Amino acid sequence: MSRIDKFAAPLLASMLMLVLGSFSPAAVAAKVEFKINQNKQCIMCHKRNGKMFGLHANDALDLTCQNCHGEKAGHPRKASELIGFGAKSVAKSDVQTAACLQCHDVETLSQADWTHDVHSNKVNCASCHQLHPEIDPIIGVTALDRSEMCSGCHSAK
Amino acid sequence: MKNSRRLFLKSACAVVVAASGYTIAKSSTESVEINGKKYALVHDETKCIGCDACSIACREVNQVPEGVSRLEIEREGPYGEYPEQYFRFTRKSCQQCEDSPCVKVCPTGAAYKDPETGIVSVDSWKCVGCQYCIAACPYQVRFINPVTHAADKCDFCKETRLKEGKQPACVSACPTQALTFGDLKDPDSNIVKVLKSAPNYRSKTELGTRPKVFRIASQEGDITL
Repeated sequence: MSRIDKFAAPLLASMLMLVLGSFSPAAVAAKVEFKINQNKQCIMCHKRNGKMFGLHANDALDLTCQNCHGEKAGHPRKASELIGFGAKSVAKSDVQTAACLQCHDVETLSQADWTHDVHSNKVNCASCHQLHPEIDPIIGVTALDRSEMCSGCHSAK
Repeated sequence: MKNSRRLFLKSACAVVVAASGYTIAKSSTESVEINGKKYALVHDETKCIGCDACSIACREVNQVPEGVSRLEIEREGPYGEYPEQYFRFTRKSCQQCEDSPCVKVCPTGAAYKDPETGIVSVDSWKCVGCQYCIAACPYQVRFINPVTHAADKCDFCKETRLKEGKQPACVSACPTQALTFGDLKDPDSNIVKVLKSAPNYRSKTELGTRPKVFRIASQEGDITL
């Protein structure tokens, strides 16, 4: 018995550590829920697609879902001014970009990247940017991927 | 006596004229290219979106090291007021001059114009790295390749894609088909059709280098009348 313990105890301990190690970041993330995700009104239904993990979820910014998506009003049963972001959204591109331009000014965007100037209100921001994931996939994109994103829309072939 | 001197002068003149005429005729036939191809490129700046797909493809295909480049797209702008702003894109690469300053100054013959294709190329093993060509090129497109230590530049992918019977890497990569490559001497080629159908210009033609990279100017200029 003692012999088994001698070998089994460290083994079990290390396995436990491994298991804990793999789960602990998720556990921490779940513990420190951003204020924006405590918004019961939205998150109750939009558990899967509603949670924010990106920079915009930062408590210091004190943003709510409504800041970008608009007022709930009669949603989901009656009419509302809510907008979704992306190509599939019924909201036109200029309406979508207007939501971002509440805070981001045109000058700063222009300095950050020249493509902001040419797409201005013609392409919705969500075509390149994603705010809900922890890291916006456009950040640190390789030159090749970036170029392929261009040709994804600008293609003559 | 008088007659014979006159005859001598006359015949001497005739010989000189004949000889010089022969050499001129000979030299002019020599300058005619052996095999009729004359490759050129059109960059339609109205179609270019500045995505850099061309320069990325060029780097990969021709194994161009980081820090130097055979092809760059230069961006100018923005012009206009938000939200109607635009940029202008120009291609910076070898202009494949007919009268190439780089070939003229090269002391070793490393820079040469391929008589079969009209493409200005570099024999890297002949290059001693004196950089005369870099100084001479009015388009400033030449560089010393840090790997081969020889002068390098765009050669329309002569050693890579053209050998495989394909179009240059930049031309195939362009998503908007802003680039057209082909033989100027072939009247049915796409490039001749494009050049005939659209007004075009070339860079620094006043220098007499006779560049073979043609450009279709973007319609939106920065001058308002």
